[in-house]
Amino acid sequence: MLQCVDIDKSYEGKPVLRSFSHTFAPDRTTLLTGPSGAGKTTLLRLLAGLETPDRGGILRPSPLRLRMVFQEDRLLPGLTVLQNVMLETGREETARRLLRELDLEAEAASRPDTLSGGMKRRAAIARALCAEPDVLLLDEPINGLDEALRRRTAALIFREMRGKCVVCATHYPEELREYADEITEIG
Amino acid sequence: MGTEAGKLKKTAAAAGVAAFWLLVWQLLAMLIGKDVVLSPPLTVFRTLVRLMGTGEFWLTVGATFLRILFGYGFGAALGLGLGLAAWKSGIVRRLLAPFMSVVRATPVASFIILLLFLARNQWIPVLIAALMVMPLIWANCLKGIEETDRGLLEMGQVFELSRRWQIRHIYGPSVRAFFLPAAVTGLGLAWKAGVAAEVLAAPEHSVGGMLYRAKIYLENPEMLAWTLCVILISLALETLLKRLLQKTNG
Repeated sequence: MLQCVDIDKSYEGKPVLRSFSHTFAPDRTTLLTGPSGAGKTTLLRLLAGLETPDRGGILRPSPLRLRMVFQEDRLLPGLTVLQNVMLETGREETARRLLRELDLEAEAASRPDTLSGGMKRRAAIARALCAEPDVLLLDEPINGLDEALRRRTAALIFREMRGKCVVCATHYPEELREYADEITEIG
Repeated sequence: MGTEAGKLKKTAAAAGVAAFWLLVWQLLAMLIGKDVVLSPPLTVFRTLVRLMGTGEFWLTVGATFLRILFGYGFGAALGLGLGLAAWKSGIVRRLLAPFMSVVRATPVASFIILLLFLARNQWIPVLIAALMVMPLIWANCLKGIEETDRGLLEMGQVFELSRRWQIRHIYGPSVRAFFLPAAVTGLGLAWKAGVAAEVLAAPEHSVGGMLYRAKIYLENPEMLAWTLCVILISLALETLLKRLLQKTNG
């Protein structure tokens, strides 16, 4: 369970989140919606421990295996796609299966700079799933994918994360609504 | 075919440039008309070939090469180590920053003269080569660490990557990108400053010592032949290092 308690967060004096409280249950998928700049990414960064709130706090159980799909793909340029997906996990079989399901099997030995934007996106998703996290934070995960791939990728993400905690920031909640247990409007 | 033609064109252009400067040298030598002041290229090349036929030449070049390479390696390792120490500790960084600035700003001749009183003359070129390369590697190592992609570091944090893994796959490539050009520049600097240190310290079997001797005895062709030798070795080393680094970079 991740719990935000009365969080304030501002950047350069500009408030982004004000008195935000919410509980993300361990087995639920939450969609975060709201206009650009509403604070969706900030909330994900706070949950990931990449930012600290100005006021209030975040309760996280320990140990907690949390992974995140960033808006930018953040793949390591010196490693192959397969190595990027595996990272330190050593789960080659899982990594290969995820790549196969995301239509990236042929790219396993390629470097990220040879991939299209959509391929990089899927590789970043595979990387997050390969770690079999307890909590998955997704920042606009299906942006930049065509419709068929969006459906397939979303289905894979939520199948892999069934019964676990998913927090997904999106501008397009209608496409992911069928997987959501709750939708939280930010801002 | 196209690549072959391109290479040939490039070689021809380089040969043309070399021929132009040799001609300038020849004309200047003819204009001055005194071998003791400026010997013509052919005389210098003949002298170099004659020197290369002697065992003393190879012993001298070998000893200079080893001295400077040892100093370069020591300085590079020290720069890298101190760079990492400065990254880990703000105090170390604050302490080292003015020292490195002073080392970079001090004329190499001042260091050589200072070392004449402090070190054995065999070691002076080694220490000078190390002093030339150390601050350069230090600064570039730190810059590489500082310029490491924040996004990748955040990813490493969220994905709980071990420190060792992050150093190898996140910091490493960034530091390498800054370290390698500094290593190439540092090699040229170390080589030139090392030979200059040999001129003043005149250790046994040294190119610098030979340059000094040639100057004393007004042996201009020998002096230029040794200079040419220094230039050729410097170019060869730089090319070798660049190729090596390109290979390591994949």
